[in-house]
Amino acid sequence: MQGQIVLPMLKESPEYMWWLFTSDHPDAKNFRANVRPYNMLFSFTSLGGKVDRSVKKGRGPSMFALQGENYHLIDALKPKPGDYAKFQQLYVMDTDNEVDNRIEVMR
Amino acid sequence: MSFVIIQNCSKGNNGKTEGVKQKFKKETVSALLKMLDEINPHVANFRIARDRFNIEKEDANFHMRIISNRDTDGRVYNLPSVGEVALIPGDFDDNLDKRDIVLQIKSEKLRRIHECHVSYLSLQYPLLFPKGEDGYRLGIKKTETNTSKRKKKQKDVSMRQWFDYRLQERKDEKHILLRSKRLLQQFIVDAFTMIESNRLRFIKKNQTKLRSTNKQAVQDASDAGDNDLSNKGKSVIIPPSFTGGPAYMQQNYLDAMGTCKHFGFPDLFITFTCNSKWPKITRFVKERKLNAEDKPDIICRIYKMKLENLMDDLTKNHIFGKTKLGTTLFQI
Repeated sequence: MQGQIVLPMLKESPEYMWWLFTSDHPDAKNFRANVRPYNMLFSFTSLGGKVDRSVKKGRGPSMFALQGENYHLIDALKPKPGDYAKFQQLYVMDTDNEVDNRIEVMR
Repeated sequence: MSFVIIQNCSKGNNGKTEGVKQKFKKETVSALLKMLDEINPHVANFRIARDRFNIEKEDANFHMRIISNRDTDGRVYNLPSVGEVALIPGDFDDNLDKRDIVLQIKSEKLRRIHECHVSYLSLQYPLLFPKGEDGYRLGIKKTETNTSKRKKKQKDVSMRQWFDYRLQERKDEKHILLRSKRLLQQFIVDAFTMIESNRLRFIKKNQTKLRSTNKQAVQDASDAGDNDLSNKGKSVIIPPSFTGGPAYMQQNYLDAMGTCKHFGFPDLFITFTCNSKWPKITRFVKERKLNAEDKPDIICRIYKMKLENLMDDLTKNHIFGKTKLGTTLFQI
């Protein structure tokens, strides 16, 4: 097996991402505590499968468990009438208030 | 839908009623959005669609296609180039690559993305792959080495091998993936399910190569006199080579019983557990200002090394005398 698999290196991540993951600034700490929600805020696709929350938060290492078949779903370019935009639709619809819309979706 | 997930997330903090408003800092959100707007190719493509909507208003009639594969050499290039997304007028026809993502302006149901789609990961993790880096795809060639020349069996990199490669730390790779804490946990779980469904698809498509005809005969016989129709329809047989499947469990059970019959009952039954406070682990994660749970890969590897060491002590160094047989069993 040795040396048979050669893949390109991942490109260097932007400065800002490094700052968020390493800095002691309260904003960065807040970001680290909520990485998954933050990522969801910008992701184009939604995650199928149920996130298992039966394990209570408490002492001991945090973990992430999924249940059921996992898949990624993507919706049409525009939301259904009367529905609000979500995931990749946020990049297309009402982009003047994009930041507020994104935060609103997670409510 | 996944919105529920997030809400539960903040309620989990007992006592601390962390409102959603505090959870997301507006400055961070807009800074991230600005960053993605500048470098993320997917964002750029959706912006093009937005501009089309703004110009054509209600007359807009096109669909968006995100191409699933690349023509470039997967060992060298991993960034998307121009022309991988197309806005095509009219409704779509399905005669192109069925793994492509086709987005219509309106549709009733959500579309599922094939896990071999090259942008599968970058669409789900825009913060991990802000430049839209390629994920796994079919047809990445293996590099020939002296040892590999003899047996020319598998020429393409498999999905598991791809993830193996990605999850190793490299000195000259400055990427946040391995530092991303809970996002890395999700990434690894996601990767596991991708590999699993990929394997299951292979099994499903290669049923004729398995000896499933015998099963069919049994099925026919039982169907003839049976009113229960719950078993009818095409069933997929999962072979024992699928780790964790029922046939795999059955085979391992029978093997264990077989060894007991041959050698007699085991003399030692050792339970070997992992401790995330092991100095080897804490030393590693401390250097990177992380917690042990942020590096599940390292925990697994150190555990495996220690376990193998223990087995070597027993079976090769014979610290308890000569051993007839040693088997390991994993319990999660």
